[in-house]
Amino acid sequence: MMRMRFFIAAALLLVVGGAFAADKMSVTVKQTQLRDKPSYLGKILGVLNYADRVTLLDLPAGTPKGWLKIEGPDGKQGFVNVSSLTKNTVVLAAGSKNVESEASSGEVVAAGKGFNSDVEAQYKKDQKLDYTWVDKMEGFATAPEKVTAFLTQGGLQGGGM
Amino acid sequence: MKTILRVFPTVSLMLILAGCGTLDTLQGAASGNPSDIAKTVETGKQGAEVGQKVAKANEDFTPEQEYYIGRTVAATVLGIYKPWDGPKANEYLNTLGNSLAVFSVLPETFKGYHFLIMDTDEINAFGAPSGFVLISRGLLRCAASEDEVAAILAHEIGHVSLKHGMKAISSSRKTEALLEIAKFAASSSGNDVLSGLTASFGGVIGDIVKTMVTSGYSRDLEKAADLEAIRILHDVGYDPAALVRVLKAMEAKLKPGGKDFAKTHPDPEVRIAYLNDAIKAQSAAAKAPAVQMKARATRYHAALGNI
Repeated sequence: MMRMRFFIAAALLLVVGGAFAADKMSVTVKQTQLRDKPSYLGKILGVLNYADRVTLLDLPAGTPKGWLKIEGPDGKQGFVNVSSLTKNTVVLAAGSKNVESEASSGEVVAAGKGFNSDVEAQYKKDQKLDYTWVDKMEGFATAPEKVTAFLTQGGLQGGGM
Repeated sequence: MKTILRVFPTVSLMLILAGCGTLDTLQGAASGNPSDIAKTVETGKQGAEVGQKVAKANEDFTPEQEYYIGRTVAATVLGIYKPWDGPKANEYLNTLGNSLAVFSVLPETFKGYHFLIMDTDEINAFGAPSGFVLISRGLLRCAASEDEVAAILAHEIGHVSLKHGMKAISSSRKTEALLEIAKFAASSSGNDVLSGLTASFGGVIGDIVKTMVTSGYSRDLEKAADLEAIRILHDVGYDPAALVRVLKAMEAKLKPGGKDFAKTHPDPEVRIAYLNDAIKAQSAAAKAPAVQMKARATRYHAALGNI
């Protein structure tokens, strides 16, 4: 009987633990925006950084596919696109959100430990590759506001956003 | 004792990764399905508990790892084709490209989508992992409007968002690379496994570049990118038939036996046939007012009029 109770308690713990685990997600891109609507045309309420943990909230009726309602680490609530989140945990070195410096210094427990800037530097040296224009490409940053203005100017607001 | 402790987690990781379900997970995660995107990173502190968590973390490449792969694929392609230093044109492509990418199945990559023109008359384009998109001047000259440039970019965004570049990595290479990553994650300094990891990285890059530049994607993947392109164009508000018009212009310019699109892409006639069917099946979109159509034409000519 005791053994039975133990198994039931253990099973309950697993179920409850699983439910709690499913309520949290982590940011898996360098930075993403928290918006007031489930749309890239929505007003930006704040930014979320790589490895930030967010709490999933109930989805309002009619939320388009691909969008989630969350509460960020600072307590702000809003919508983010699912492509910026992972259901797993991303761990960076304590107290820092600087992905590049952590990755290159090898301090990131998981996030920077794979193909990272150290590997790129080694490969670049071995292959004598030039990344000048790749770095310049990354410099062509398009602010979310610019995308919105571009779409509006061209009569392109679309129905899918 | 120290050696045993160091070897044990590595061997455990290899066993876990080689064991039940891992290959299925890898294949599933490489599908490009948005639901798979939410399966990327999990880890824990280094130490005794690292094995299970890191093994799970390495079931697939993370968006961060895809970013480093994409950077190096782009650098390799730019070793073959020179970049075109046209600030206005490149800025326009980036604004247009990002406006399309937010409608894709992968609107956010690790550091976003970036577009660059290659200075060649060849008709060619490459959508490298994580959103590094390269388009030739020759291909841009096949477009006669913003809608048609959007069609070209949407096709490449289709390749990126459906992860076709990552699918070019052979399964054995992928398993090997993920094992190296697992070893790296379990290593205290990383320095002892850097050479193995760099060699695996090189193999991954080689597989992708070979497919993108030399052999081309399969007909099925090209069709998937085409169909994704017309879906994006439709949802944004561009004319999906613009892709058909670009293909017709390309068909007229492509040289038989050339080393560009002609070599790596299906016959434009075949593509036009299935695209016309798919476009007919789409709901008709309302045409934008004349003032906004004029705005599109003005900005297109200002940026790419002399390409």
